[in-house]
Amino acid sequence: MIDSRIIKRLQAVVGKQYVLNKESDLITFEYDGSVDRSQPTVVVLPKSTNEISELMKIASTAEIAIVARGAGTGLSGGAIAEQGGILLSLTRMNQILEIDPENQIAVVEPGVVNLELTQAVSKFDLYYAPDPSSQQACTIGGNIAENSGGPHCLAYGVTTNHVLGIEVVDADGEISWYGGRTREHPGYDLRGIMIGSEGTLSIVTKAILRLSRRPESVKTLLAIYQDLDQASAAVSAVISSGIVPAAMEMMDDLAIKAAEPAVNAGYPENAGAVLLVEVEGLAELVEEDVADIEKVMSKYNPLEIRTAKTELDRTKLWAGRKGALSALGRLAPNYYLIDGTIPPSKLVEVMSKIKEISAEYNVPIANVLHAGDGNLHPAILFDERNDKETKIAFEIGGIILKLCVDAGGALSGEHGIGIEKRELMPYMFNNDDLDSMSKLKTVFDKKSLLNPGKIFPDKAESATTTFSQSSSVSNTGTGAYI
Amino acid sequence: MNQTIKQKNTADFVKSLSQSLKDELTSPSDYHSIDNVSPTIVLSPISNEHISESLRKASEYELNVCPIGGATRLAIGNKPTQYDLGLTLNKLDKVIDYKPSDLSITVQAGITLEKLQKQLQENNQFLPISAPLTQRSTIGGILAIGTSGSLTWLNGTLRDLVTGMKTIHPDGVISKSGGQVMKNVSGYEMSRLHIGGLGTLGVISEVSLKVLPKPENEVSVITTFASQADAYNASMSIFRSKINKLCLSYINPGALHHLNIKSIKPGHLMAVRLFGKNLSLNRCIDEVDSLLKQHNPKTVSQIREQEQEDVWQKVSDFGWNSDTKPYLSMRISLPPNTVGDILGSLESTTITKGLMPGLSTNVGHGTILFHVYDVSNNAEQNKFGEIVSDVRRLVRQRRGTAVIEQGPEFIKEEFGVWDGFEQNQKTFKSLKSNYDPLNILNPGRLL
Repeated sequence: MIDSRIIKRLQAVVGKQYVLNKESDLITFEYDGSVDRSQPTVVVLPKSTNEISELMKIASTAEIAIVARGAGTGLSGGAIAEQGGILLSLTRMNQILEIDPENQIAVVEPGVVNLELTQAVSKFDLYYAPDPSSQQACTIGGNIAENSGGPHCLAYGVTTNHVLGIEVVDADGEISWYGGRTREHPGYDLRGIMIGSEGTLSIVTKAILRLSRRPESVKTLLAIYQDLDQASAAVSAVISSGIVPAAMEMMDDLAIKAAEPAVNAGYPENAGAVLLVEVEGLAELVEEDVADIEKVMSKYNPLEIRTAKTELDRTKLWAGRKGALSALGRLAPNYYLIDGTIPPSKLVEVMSKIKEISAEYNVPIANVLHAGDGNLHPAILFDERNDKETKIAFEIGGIILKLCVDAGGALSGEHGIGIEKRELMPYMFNNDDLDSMSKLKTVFDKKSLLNPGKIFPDKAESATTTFSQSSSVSNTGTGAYI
Repeated sequence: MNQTIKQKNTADFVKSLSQSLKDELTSPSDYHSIDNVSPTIVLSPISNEHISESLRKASEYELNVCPIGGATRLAIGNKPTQYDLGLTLNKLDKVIDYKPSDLSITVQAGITLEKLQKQLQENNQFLPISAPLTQRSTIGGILAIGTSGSLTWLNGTLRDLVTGMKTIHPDGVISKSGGQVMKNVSGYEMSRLHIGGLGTLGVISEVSLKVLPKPENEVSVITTFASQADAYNASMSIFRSKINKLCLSYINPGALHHLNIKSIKPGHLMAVRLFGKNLSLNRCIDEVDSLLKQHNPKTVSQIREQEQEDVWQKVSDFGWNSDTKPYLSMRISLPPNTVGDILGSLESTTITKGLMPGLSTNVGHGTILFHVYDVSNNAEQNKFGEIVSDVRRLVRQRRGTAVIEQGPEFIKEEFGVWDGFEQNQKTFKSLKSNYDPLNILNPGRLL
């Protein structure tokens, strides 16, 4: 419960207009990238690190939960104020504070939108490499919290590989810098431990990001296969051949069927799977890699391999991939999106099992995946108005995630554990692993006020619950990104 | 704790060990000593359970433990405040899992970098890590130190290659985080605390690493210049170009003298290691050639294959093998664009004191290895103190850090080896007391 005295104190810090506690305002903040919802008690929109520090001190003294939120595009329920309390919307902290082209760094506030940073530095022939599919909307703060990836992280790594330093506010309101402008920092890597901690350890208020030089040349190939097995085998073969493409994305027949009529990307609707492969770098190397990739992929009997000739061709090929999820509305009213990871060599095996599960339960599953790094995104199609279908969708979700872990993979590749997968954490980690992680929480947040309840299983609940979540259920056709 | 009690505890500790671990007891030697402090006993565990038992019982008998990899860089860190048990990991040197098509390998921490690279080489893969004395340096040790060598992939760092880790806590508990896949946001990435943690929070026992296909062709262009400015500017123009490079170093005449590479003439050296396929490698060579011409090179040559490997290994070994061991060594990390203007100051502050500096720079990365050699063999102590003060002042002005990696005890004690800790000291201490409440692991060396 947050009483009126606390509200007044919050207003004194950020200004009355930036403290929202009317029902009509709170509704806007009860979602993240899913339909699961929980209303915060109050939403506060700070403008500076100092304001956040003051807010944290108030919350700490009154023992009120605080959930930081960027654009709310995540799919694990991570930005939902499940236990009420203060939801800290960081969208007003959206300034690019410094661009240093000589050192190839940018200093930004957490509310800066990912793509806007790349646009701002493009005049220096630089870009920010992590490119989540939601990059038009998602924020750097959210990316850091979830250690976001994106199609191009196959070659360039995920968010943690591109963050040099962060300014944070801890649960007591103390402001610190972890890391900085240099590549190396002696001692424990506090910067690294914060990235991907889903806002449970501290709140990131500034970030020093590593920028990359734009590649000289980019080529995109589309390989069309009769069936998923051939496409999956081709992915493993390309990686084994000694080439690491910048991106290697795959869509199965169902995803193609949904996407093609919606965006006219030029994918044949009768194809079993398509692979979208992008190669970047020196013009000569791109030519050499493209030739080698074509050679490898040809061994798996493609129906066709196309190379985008123009930038327009390339955009069109990517439009199919990027528009796949929203196009699923053509097939079912809802989808439940899974974000698991497997070793790429297990693609054929795991994708076959997913098809078997789909057949066994008679539930359609569309697959859109970052195939090169084994990040699967099966979308289980169902109608949430039908309780039985909904229940089965969740059951299948749990089975697929366990399949990923059994194959040597992970519960999440880029959306985090959040609420969605916390009860499955004991499937991947034993008590000692989880206890070791929990100890870290107490170093930064003794009262467990920062994004409480996320990541870790509820001990009482986990004994009985196998899998229960609804946070990643989405009405198809809305803006979900993977 | 007084010495008699310590001796009794040590004897009781040994008595309490399982027979299989007792079999791994060895006698301490110079190999295990840190800043002239030797342990009372040494254990060489052959399993995670052995490490666990060693730590659990060391905690019980209040013995202080220093984990040891290849013992190549034990000089890094402060002198241990107490050192009873040396825990060497050399016998834990196996590859646990390696699937080349997943670009992932999981190894025991005691595997040497040389052995690991050989295994990868069989499948035309490699780990983009370089370290001194690869025949001895272990993966666990390299990660515990946490600094990157001259070899970097896409300008990244050592920690970018770690996808998962198993560690053993001072109470003997074994825990893991991360995994074998490149993308993984499942719980906290605990490995980050151990990379650069100098074995003060736990013992690294297993590591999963991202590996890469070995480039089809490689060549290194070795260029000498008459002036530092020309050499450094040439290096930066190559760094800023889009050509494929694995290593890019500037080495000053002092360092070059100690490296003693017969085929390279004295001067300011710029070395770049290029990679690619046929056409792309030729393009890189042409472009380097044309960039070099703008900066008055004295000599330009190309080296390949074994000769190339040998030169880069010498660069990695610099300061750590017996031929190049300096009297004082600092590792400087700076915003890359400030490196050029500090190099001259680092040289002059040393030369004015009658000493010879050796500088080796990872260009674009912003790291400088600064070595001072005692030319006359009768250096006055205060000269070294002045140098450390000068270097730290110059580095702090540029928002960098300067860690003393090697030096005489009085220098380490007077100045403290670490730099840039101040702001995070409280959190570091809190982590240490949470994960090692009895302070048994490497006491005093980091905190």
